[in-house]
Amino acid sequence: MDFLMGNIWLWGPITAVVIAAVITVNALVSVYLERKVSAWMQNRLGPMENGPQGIFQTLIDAVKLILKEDIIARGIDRPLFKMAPYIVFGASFAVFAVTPLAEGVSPADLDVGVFYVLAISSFVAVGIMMAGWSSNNKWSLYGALRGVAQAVSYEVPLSLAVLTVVMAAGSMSLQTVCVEQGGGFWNWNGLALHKNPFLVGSFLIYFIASLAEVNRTPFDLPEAESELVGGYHTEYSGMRFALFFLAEYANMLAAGILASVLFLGGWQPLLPALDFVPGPLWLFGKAYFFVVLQIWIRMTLPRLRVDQLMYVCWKVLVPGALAMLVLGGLWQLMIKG
Amino acid sequence: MEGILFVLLSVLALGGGLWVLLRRSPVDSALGLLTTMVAIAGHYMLLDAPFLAAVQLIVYGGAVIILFLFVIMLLNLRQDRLRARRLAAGRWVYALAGVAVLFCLAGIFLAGGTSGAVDAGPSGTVEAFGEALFRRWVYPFELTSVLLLAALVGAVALTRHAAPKAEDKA
Amino acid sequence: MDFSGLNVAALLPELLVSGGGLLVMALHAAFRGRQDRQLVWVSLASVVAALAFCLNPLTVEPGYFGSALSDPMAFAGRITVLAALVLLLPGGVAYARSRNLPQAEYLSLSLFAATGMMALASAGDLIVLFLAVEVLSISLYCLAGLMGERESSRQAALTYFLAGSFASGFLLFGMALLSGSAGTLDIAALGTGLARVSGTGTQWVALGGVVLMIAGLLFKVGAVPFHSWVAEVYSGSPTVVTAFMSTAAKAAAFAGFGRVLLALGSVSEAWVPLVGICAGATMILGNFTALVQGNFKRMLAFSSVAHAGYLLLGLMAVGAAGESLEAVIFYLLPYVLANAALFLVAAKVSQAGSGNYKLDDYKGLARRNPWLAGLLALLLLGLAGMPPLAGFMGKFMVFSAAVRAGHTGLAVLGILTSVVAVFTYLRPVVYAWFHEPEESGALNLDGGLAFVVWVAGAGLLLLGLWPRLWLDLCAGIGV
Repeated sequence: MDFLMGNIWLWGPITAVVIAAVITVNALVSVYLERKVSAWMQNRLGPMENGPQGIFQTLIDAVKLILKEDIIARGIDRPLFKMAPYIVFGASFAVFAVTPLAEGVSPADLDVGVFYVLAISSFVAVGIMMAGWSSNNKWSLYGALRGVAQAVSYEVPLSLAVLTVVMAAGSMSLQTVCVEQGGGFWNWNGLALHKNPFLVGSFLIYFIASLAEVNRTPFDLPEAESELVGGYHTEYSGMRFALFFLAEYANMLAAGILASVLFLGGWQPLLPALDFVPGPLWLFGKAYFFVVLQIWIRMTLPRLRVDQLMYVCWKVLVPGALAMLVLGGLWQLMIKG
Repeated sequence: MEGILFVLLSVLALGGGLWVLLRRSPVDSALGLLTTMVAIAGHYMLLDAPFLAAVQLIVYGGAVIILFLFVIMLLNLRQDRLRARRLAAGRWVYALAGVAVLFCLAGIFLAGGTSGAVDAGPSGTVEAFGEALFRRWVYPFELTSVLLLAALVGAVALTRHAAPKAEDKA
Repeated sequence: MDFSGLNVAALLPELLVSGGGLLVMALHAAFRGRQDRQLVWVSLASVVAALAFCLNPLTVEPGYFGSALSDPMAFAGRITVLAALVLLLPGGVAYARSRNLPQAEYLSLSLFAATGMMALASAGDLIVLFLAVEVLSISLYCLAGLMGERESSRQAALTYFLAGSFASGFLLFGMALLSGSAGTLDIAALGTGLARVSGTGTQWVALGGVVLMIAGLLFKVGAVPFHSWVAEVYSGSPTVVTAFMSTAAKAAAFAGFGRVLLALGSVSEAWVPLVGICAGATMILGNFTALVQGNFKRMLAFSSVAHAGYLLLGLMAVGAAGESLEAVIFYLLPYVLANAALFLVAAKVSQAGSGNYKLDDYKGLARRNPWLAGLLALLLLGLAGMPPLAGFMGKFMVFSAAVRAGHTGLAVLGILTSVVAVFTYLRPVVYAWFHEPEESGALNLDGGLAFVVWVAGAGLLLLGLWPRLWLDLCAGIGV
């Protein structure tokens, strides 16, 4: 059921509202998760004051952010400065339109779904660039330059890794990719050594590259707080800052969703017998597994230097992804006929 | 619905083009170009070629414009440093060229479109695209790869060996 | 999978040469640049293999659904480009080594450029034509800037790039209008496509396309009024690169140009006056500017502008009278041989003398190396069009074709300007034989340069005495 395309006047606004709600709730949950997970890893308690185990902490933070004064410093390129957060948020928002929720159920099951996600998410870089430039602040500009260089570079191994899956599934539609992986977790692309062993390599490359795409440690150079204050959003405050914040966590979730769709079966249950659990639960469960993984890595690894960042991309991930693509393609041709 | 979208996208595309020409700040111009590119991607979507639309977004929005912006920011061209360049006598040439182009394009309309025999394949789906690209047009495709490779080798050669000697080679 | 209609053999020369370029880069990387001296042999091997395959009857069938042709034009273009490579690569590498240019990059970019040139000479459709032009141009922009420690080289690369991009824009826009109105991308079918729309409004669109495309191509071949980049680019680039540009690249560009004009023969009244004026202006301007140059490299640059004028005259005859491209095909090979050798000689003489290509360097050359002075005279007279050398046959064929096509006035102009050219070319010869040397001591040629000069000289003589040899070979290979 491709309801968005069916009647866009009816379903368009509904989908938009639902996605907005998902993004907001996701930010609340993820921030709380991040704080708690990092606290546990460091043998602390984390937020405890508001509500049981401090679960209302992020809600209160959100209210604080909304009520804060919106400061626009002098010397700032106003129109660009104001537009930037919306572009970043809009790009993160639009990615969710093709999420496959269950068998045959996605807001829009585009023929070129995977490609659409890659295309739209590349617009985040435009927003980051605008934010960094318009702020008229050296920290912002450095953050933006780093962020964009990183995003553009890591898009290459990311796309190549995604292409391996597309080749194996024979389709760019996220639904078809999910359907292909049915029948139990041993058929999931990221685990199915018997289907196409090179997909496992692609899985690893995809995950590393997606960390860089969403600016998470060890690739958080664009907003490295010890060097650049806050990176491209140094000058932002209040609601506009909140938009960047929302977008960042939305991107984390989107990366998780895409990873689970491409490599862990999306809405497919762990075992065929667990079919009674609805698809969205599986999908979001897997996606949050990746979110937690991202937090875990953040707490474990130090940040890379800029030259190391580029080295990893162009000399390790890109050749690796190319090798996976070629070998995976050969496997597909020779073994599977 | 399609008619409304068509008009909307066309206005965006043309407005973006005008914005590129009329704004003095190079960053603004680059963003105007981006608007045009995105609007054209929308046109592809209307023409039932979603794959082409996505390619347009990735290539232009995600890469070309970003690199433009990158270069502009590295050069740090600020609008206060850019003075309006006077075109002097040359402007009539440009104006003439523009009118000539307009004339040509108007000709297409008056002629009721082109003969339209350039067959782009059955439709803009991925399959049709792949079929055309890797069968009939595989030679140009491969030639493009030689082009890119030559550009890559040339860029490396120019930056590594042929740059003017810098004082501090750190 | 279904690969029928592909006929990979039709592209083997291009594949071999571009493969050679790849191999050079790979070996350079694998040995970390320590074995760069051997790379020239790899390059030459790929070029010679491509030459061998050009003569292979397998390549006669057009390949890639008609995108890669194998007619006499393609054959002649490929052979001319490959011959230029054989002559230029050994000398070029020696030049690069002596001036500390990156050898591997020089070789691989040259091979990629040659791939584009061959693809251009054999292009069957507009897309390939455009891409081939771009492949050769981009490689040449980078080659022009290889000596980037010098301001002049950087400036040459930038000028070439800007002028070339402008020309590419013209070319592409023209192609879009033309193929849109003719309804085909196939070059050979453009004529029939245009005949179908004649008399309708689309005709005017097509006319705009034709004019724009011709403007772009005139730019690429360096003809008046789009010649202003030639002097700066040719004199600023490393000499071996200039030699490559003015020989192989020009031959390929004319092959592509000829193909387009041949296809547009049915609308020749639209472009013949345009090309005619440009041809005349090019002949006059090129020859007279070359006459007053005191710098050998610039003199050769303007002389190559002048030759572009003669070649344009040959192309015009094609469109108007349905002549074959025989005259143009014949003109190119001796021109390429002589020019390639002359540029290498110029580099050598200049290095031994002032270092900046002054004509004075040639004073008394006969005393220092009589063989070289003799061959220099032979090559220059060959370019000037003295019988019995091949340059004469080339000019004779072009002018007679022009007369047959009814362009008598332009043919007369061509003959008159050729007389001016003789003066230009005789100056270094007179310097070499009838002036006292400013420096004493023998000027010895190394083996590679001697080989080039002798081969070029012998080629000029051979082609001049038996022109049918080359023409029959071209005609025999074609379908």
